[in-house]
Amino acid sequence: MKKKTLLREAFREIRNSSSRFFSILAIVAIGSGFFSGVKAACPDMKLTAQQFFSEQNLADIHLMSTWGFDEDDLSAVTGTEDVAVAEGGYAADFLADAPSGEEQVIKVIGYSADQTLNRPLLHAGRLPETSGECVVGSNSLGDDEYWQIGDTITVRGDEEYASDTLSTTTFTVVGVVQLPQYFSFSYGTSTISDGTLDGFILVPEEDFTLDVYTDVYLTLSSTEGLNPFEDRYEQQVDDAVDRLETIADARAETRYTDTVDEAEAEIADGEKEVADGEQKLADAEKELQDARQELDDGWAEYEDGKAEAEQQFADAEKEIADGEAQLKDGEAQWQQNYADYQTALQQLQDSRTQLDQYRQQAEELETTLSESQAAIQSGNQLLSGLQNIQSAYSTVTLSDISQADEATQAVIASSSALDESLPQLLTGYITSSGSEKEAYGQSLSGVISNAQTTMAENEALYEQGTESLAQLQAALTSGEAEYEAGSQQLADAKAQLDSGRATLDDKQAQLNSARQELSDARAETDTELADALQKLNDGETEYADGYAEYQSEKADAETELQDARQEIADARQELDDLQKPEWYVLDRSSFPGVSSISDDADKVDAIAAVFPVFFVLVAALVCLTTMTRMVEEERTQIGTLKALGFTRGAVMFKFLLYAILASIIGGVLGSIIGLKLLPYVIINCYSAMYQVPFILAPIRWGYLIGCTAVSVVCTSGVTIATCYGVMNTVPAQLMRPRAPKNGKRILLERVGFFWKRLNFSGKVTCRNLFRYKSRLMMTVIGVAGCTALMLTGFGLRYAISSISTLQYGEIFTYSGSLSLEDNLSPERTAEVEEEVSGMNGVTGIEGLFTKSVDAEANGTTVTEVNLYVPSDPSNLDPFIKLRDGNTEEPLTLSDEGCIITKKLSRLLGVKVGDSISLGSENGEMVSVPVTGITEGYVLHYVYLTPGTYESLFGEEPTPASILFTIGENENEASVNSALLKLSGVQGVVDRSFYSDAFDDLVSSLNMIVWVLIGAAAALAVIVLYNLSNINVSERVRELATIKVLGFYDREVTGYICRENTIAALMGMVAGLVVGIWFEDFVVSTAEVDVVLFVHGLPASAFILSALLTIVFIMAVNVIVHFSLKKIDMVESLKSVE
Amino acid sequence: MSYVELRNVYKRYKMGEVTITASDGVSFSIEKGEFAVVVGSSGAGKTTILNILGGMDSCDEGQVLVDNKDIAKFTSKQLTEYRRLDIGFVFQFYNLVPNLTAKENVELATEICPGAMDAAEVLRLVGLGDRLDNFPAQLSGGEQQRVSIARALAKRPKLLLCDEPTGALDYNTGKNILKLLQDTCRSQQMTVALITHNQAITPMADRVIRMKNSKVVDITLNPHPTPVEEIEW
Repeated sequence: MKKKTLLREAFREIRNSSSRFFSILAIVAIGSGFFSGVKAACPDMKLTAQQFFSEQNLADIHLMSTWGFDEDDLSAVTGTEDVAVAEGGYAADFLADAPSGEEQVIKVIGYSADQTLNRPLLHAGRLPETSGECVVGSNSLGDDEYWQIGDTITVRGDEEYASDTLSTTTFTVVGVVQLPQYFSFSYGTSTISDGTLDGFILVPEEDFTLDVYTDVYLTLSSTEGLNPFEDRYEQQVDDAVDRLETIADARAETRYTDTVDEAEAEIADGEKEVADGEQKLADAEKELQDARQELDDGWAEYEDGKAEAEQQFADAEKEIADGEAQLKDGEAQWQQNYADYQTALQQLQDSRTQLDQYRQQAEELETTLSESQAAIQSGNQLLSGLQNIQSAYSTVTLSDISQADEATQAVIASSSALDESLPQLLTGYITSSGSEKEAYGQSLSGVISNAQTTMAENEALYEQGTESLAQLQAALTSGEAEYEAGSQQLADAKAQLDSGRATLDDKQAQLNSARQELSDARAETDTELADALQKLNDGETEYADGYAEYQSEKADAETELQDARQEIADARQELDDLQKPEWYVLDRSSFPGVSSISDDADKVDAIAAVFPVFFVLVAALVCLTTMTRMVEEERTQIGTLKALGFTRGAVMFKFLLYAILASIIGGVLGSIIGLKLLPYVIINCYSAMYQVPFILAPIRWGYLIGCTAVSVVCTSGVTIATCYGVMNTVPAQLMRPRAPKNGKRILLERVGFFWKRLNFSGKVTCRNLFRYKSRLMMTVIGVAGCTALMLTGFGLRYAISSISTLQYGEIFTYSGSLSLEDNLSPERTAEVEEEVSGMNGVTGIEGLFTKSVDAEANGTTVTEVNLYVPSDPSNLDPFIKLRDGNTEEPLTLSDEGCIITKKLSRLLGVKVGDSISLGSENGEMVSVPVTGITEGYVLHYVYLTPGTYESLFGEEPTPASILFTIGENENEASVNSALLKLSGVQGVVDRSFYSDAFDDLVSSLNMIVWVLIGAAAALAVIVLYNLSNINVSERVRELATIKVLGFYDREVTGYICRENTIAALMGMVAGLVVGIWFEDFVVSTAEVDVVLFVHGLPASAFILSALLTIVFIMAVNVIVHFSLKKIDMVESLKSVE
Repeated sequence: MSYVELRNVYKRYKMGEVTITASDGVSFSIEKGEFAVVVGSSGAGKTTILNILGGMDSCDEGQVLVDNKDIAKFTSKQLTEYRRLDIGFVFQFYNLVPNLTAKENVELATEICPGAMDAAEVLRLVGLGDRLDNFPAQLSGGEQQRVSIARALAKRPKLLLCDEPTGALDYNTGKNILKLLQDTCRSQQMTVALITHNQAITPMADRVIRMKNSKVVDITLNPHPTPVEEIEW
């Protein structure tokens, strides 16, 4: 029951004094939050990495081979014990110009949608699907400087092999991805250009035209579910690596033998081909010769044929000519006969004509005779008629003739035939009368008498004619017979002629056909000959062409054959030179960033281990003062309760509850916030170096409960301790207000000269300062912690950043190192050295034999110690400085022993004059005295002279790499890429490659420093503010009084803050002193085995820490100033009743 | 015009929903060099008036004229200056800084006030010439109050305000303190306003202002104040 009231009172107390409650809560929250947050950062970092690796199925082991891998290799790997999945892949390094114009070395990696290992995490866009598409790796460059989605990347080989490897060299960016094997923004080394890989792109696997896989990635069954940062994982991987190395040797041997066989077979084939080629050439020549022969024969045949034909034609010609002559003679004969015939014929015809003439004459005569007979008859008739009429009309006269009878008329009409004058005389006679009639009768009788005379003459003539006619007709008959006989004779002659003609014509025809035949034959022969000639000419042309072709082809063939022979010779040479394939079995540490993330996480863990101690301390102190103050304020109530008879425990319960509640709430809240926030902030710091895809920060209940428990124990312990004193006081005394703390003289006042010089407020301040000693202590401790934290932060940064400057600026002064191909002969090495030193821009070289050994002394073994044997130890200085770390005095490497680095000497616990054992490969340890300890910060080195090495290990140290320096104004990248092109050079690593990696580390550490400074600030502000608040509330009366006395606000602030400031400055000085040790401690703790941190602090660290502390103090003073302004004089002064 | 004059001064406090009127139209005046006593029972509003008069608090209404200046209109900075230069305060619980010696406590005031008296001299004046280097804890109540008075006087204030200066002291010591105050008033022509609930000491005052329920109920002028030694209570 009583508890219930007490409980209510306790909660009311919390509500009423919420600011005090929250100040405890806050300091506990900050303390536990910072502790658990920083503590969780390392596991969270590893968890994030682990999760990412397992989500993307990062390979456990990566195989590379100088020869690539064929399917047999892959199946051999797959068949190895414990190998879960093995996948072959393609990758090759190319050059490409980034949008910024900068030449980038990028690794083009084949991507297949069904690959199960090293799956890319897509950040934007999509994965490549078709040829010519690609995705770029995420990067830390700006948008304008790197390829974006939609851009086109054209890759080119350093030499000219881009198209040998890829089917296309232009890719369109379709997405941005992250590959698990590139966890860091540093992508490792490359064998081209300046030797530094700048990024990668994923392209479809089909775009690679390689016969063999370039890489094989595999996961192990035994590591499934194992934390990759645990030893068990490493053990399994190491075992698998050993097994794979055995496979590697076997496969290498097989591949080598196969290849040699194959190559030899190929060389044999080549040789056979060359022989064939030679044979073919000879055949061709033979063929040509045959063709020539054939052609020549053809020519001869042609000529012969032509001559023969000519002869034949001549003969035929002659025969024809003879025929023609004969024919001509025949013709002439015939013509003669014909002419005779013609003459005879003419004669016959003439006789005919004569005959006909005679006949005609006879006929004409006959006719004339008949006519004369008729004319004589008609004349006689007419004369009778006329005499009739003369008689009839001698007395009659007719007026008109027409009246005469018909007979008269007819006689008149026909009378004209006898004489023309008759009709008229007759007409006149008839018609006329008398005298006239006598006249007419007289004339008429005259005419008739004449006609009678004529008539008688005609009759005589007629008689004559008839006689001649008879004569004529007789002659005619004999002529006709004669003609008939001649005609018969001629007909015979004509038949004879005609047959002669026919014979002649036949002969002519024969001759003509013979001529035709000849002409045809000639034509034919001509054609034939022409054809033959054409053919020959064609043959000739063909031959000429063939010859020309042969000549040119022969030249080509000769060249080709020469080439082939050279090739064969080369191939043979190559085969002789051929080195066995070498497999590189690499674990995850070969993936950039994958192994260092663990180291980096451990570094954070080392820091986390020490820093929170401060917070716990400060939290306890804050609780102490706050609880003291509370108990102080509550003393009256405590007294009352005690007087009422409550037990000590019951009274204390309230305070305990108060403190525990604040601690639990603060612890839980702080832990949750810290666990969520700090890993996030810290891991984010590392995103300058690492491509952190996401951050896993689970609430780690262990940390939360632990932190809260510690807080509870601390605060309740403090509370009990505080209450304890009060509890022992009797109630009566408790119920009286506590006498104000008495003023008293302080020690300083005894120092007269100092005290006297102080002004009034100085004295007041001094005295107040020492009045509240616990508060002073707290302020000093809190501020000292703050300053020490910052000093440590800066110191840590310096320690690490100086490593880079010292190791890669002062100790390793070479510009770069190039690694030589394995198993180069010493002569070849010397040649390469010669070439390198002759290279433009290279100012000096130093051959270096390197080897990783174990070093042992005093029972401690340090693994992975780099044994460096320079070819010319006296010339080592321009490349590697050997010097004493403290005095900077140069050390000389001599045949008497080795020089080792400082960290190694420290780890082994040896000093100059002691001996260390170095392990050779066969496990034997050889002992060598240490002649010097040199400065060195990164990795362990043992330097030996070649002579010492040879006497120790029994083999000659042939340089495996060459260190070189280049002129100050030379372009490193161009020199490096020129060096890479030399044969026998395997790779070039720029010294800046290492220092860059370190610089990245420093930049991420910078962020850690800021986190520390932030934490320190929180610490300083919390402590100072808390104390100031207590100070103010405890002395509120005093402050009200001086306000009443008329102190201005700033004077009031000064009155309080002067003390605070002085206390804080004391704390600062203390912090700067304590910080030196603290920094040393943290740096030593954070130091990993292979690195020697630079101890010691630069002045800037002190100055910066001090300045920042002062800034925090001032900030708190400003806050206090405003809270002082709010003090109400009236209220404060009347409070004491 | 009186040296100190309050005209219709109101002061109200808001306590949640209740408004408490601490001064309800208070008006009175005090002449230069007068020894005024404000008397009334607890809660009559005496301290409020004194706080307003001393520039430690402000009034909501009315005029507070001190030496012809209306301090009711002062800014907080002016009020600080007013307290610093013109006002001397003596509290019931002395309010000495425990970490300072008697002399230093006085110096606390003289440091910031030009024309102040020498601390040691003032302390001698209040009879503590031989306790200069003692801390408050080493002094008796009366002695502490003397230091407090010395601290107030050292500034040569225009007005000395005393809030129940004898409240925590025994009879004789209280009497001594009152005597010191009266003598100082007389010898230095100091205007003194003293608050008390003790009616018995009113005869020593030149002016008695009686307050009740936040109001002035009566102002009495006493032409012949009785010396403190003669007052018994």
